[in-house]
Amino acid sequence: MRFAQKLACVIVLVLAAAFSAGGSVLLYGNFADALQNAAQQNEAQHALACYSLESNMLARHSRGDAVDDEFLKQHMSGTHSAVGKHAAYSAVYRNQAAPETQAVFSNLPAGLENSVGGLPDNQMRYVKIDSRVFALYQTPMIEATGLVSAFDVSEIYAVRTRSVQRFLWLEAAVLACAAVAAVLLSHWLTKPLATLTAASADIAGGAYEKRTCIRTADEIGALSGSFDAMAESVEQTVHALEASVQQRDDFMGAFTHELKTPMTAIIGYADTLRTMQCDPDAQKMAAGYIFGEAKRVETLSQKLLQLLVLSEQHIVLCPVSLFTVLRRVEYASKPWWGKVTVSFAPCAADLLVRADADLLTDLLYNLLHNAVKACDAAGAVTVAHTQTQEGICITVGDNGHGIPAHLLERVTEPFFMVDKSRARRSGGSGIGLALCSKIAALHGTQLTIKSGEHKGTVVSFALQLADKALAPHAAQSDKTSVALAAPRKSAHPGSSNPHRDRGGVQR
Amino acid sequence: MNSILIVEDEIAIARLIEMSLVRAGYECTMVNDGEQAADLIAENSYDLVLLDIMLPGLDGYELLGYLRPTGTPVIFITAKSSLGDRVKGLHLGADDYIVKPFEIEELLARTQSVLRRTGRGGMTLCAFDVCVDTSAKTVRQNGVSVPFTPREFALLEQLLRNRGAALYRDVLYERVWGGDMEDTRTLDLHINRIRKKLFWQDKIETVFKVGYRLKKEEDT
Repeated sequence: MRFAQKLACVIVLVLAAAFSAGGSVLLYGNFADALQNAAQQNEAQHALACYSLESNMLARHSRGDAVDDEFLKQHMSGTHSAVGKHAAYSAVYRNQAAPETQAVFSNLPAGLENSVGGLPDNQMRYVKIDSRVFALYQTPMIEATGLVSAFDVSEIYAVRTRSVQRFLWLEAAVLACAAVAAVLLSHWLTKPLATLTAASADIAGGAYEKRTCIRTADEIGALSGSFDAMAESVEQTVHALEASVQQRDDFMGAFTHELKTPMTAIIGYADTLRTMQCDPDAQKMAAGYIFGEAKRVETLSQKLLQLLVLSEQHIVLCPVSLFTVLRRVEYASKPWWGKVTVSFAPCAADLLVRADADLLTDLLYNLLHNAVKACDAAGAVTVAHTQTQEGICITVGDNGHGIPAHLLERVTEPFFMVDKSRARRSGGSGIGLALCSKIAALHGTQLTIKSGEHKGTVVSFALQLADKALAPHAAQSDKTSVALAAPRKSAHPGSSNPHRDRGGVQR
Repeated sequence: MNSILIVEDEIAIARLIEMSLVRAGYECTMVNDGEQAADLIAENSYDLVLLDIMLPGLDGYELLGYLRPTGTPVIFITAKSSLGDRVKGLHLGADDYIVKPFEIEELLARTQSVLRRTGRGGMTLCAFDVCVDTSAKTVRQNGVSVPFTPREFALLEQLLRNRGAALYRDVLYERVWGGDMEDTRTLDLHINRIRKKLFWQDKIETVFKVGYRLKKEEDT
């Protein structure tokens, strides 16, 4: 049974009970009043009849006449005609003990005589004969006579019956109206619940954008409000989950692609070499491709490993001399500058920034590597830094190919390459900038990339200045970090030839 | 001789495919980006196009759109191995789908089967006076049928497909019989039978410490 139906039933039942109880009390009260009024009147009339009979009998006594049956009959007929309008009946009896056999005068309706016997003196009682009701009064008189009066009160009962009937019709009509009203009311009241149910079913079915939109000031409004808030947060969570799944799928897809391509070449050339004796040129080419592609896989795996490690790493930022870091980057990168002009802005030796020395070196090394790769032979790359209110802003700029505006926001995605074939030629795997942005995030900053196609690219990020007082032995600590860092450099990011770079760092 | 266009931006793979197909007797054109490929497709007609999906310029799906009206059969070569990608590729009208990393044998087999299916040859391999129908598995010398057992046929096919190259014994054995070679006698025996049947004593050369080589026309 639905809640609306239950509510309607309860309303109708309560209303019916209340109406019936009220009506009954009212009807019974009216009936009792009417009965009492009639009883008072009848009693008075009976008393009058008694008085009249008695005074006549006494008067006859005083005249010396006997009170005989004839007199009584005469008196009763006379009285009766005088009070007949009251639709009253009366009887006079001689013998008190058995009045029914001794009736001197009686105009009682048939059947009523039988009820006369055993009537207590001076008491009234109701006697029902057929469909009529009579009030019987009996009073003993002098001369061993007794007077019985009967009054027809059927009308009062008939009125009661009619009233009850009227009331029942009225109640039926009122209850019918009330039922309709209750059904409508309960339906209106429970309508928001239906909306809520439908909305939750929809959400369960996957329509996370569904809302109830019930705007009322009552509890249901509040419930809908919190339901909508819940749905909102569920939707956001689901979208975040979907996005992260999508991101992971994209990453895996890109990764497999990056892995499958060199694998195909390696397998294919190796298969050729083992199948037949090729001429020396073809052999050399095949071996060259196998070596190159295997190297690519190695670089890829190193960078990926670093990316994974960085994702779970918590670094401690300590005062680092920017000058030392820039020197390290310069030494490590010099071998692959080629014809590109790389210039480092002069840096004060005592300029300290809050950073992880190794990661900052990696970051700058990668950015510089990207900048050099983006340039043609006549390119120029500048590494500069400016002091700002927040700290220090380091920029790596080039005048190379640049990045098309619509691709700008994707360049930090793993495996994304603006120009795949150019990136391939220079040994890129598309992870460098993803690494850089991760390192920047670990330093509490982010990469700002400004670029235009064929206008060059400027990448900048901010670092906090370190308090010099905190690092009195800054120069010394830097040396230690260089020494500690050296073994880690075997997995140097952005390097096309890790072995050569390692030498650079150790220098 | 069928002409095949290879559209693949990975130069290493493109050259690998080219090298293998040329050796198998096809005429190949190699191109590394989508726009150049579109130009070539517009200018020339090819018997088959091997198409990478992820390409700079136009991608493989777009190129397929250019190729459909010409009726040129297309084989997709891609690293996208999900069922959805395969179905998409085949729905768009690609004739086959090769997933990286693939082996050269697989590439050759699929190339041949697509060419055969689309009625563009690929079923007969000829050398000297012998013609081999690879689909009917029959060998004819000067128009006269020569009976071959399946193993002999497979061996002859390997020699024909890699004509001019000295093939290693163990790889030949692996491709014809499967598994590792246990004794060299089986292979040598079959080679000798082929030589006898076709009178090719001087055409199939024994290469010292390597294996066998079917000579090219110009070698003789």
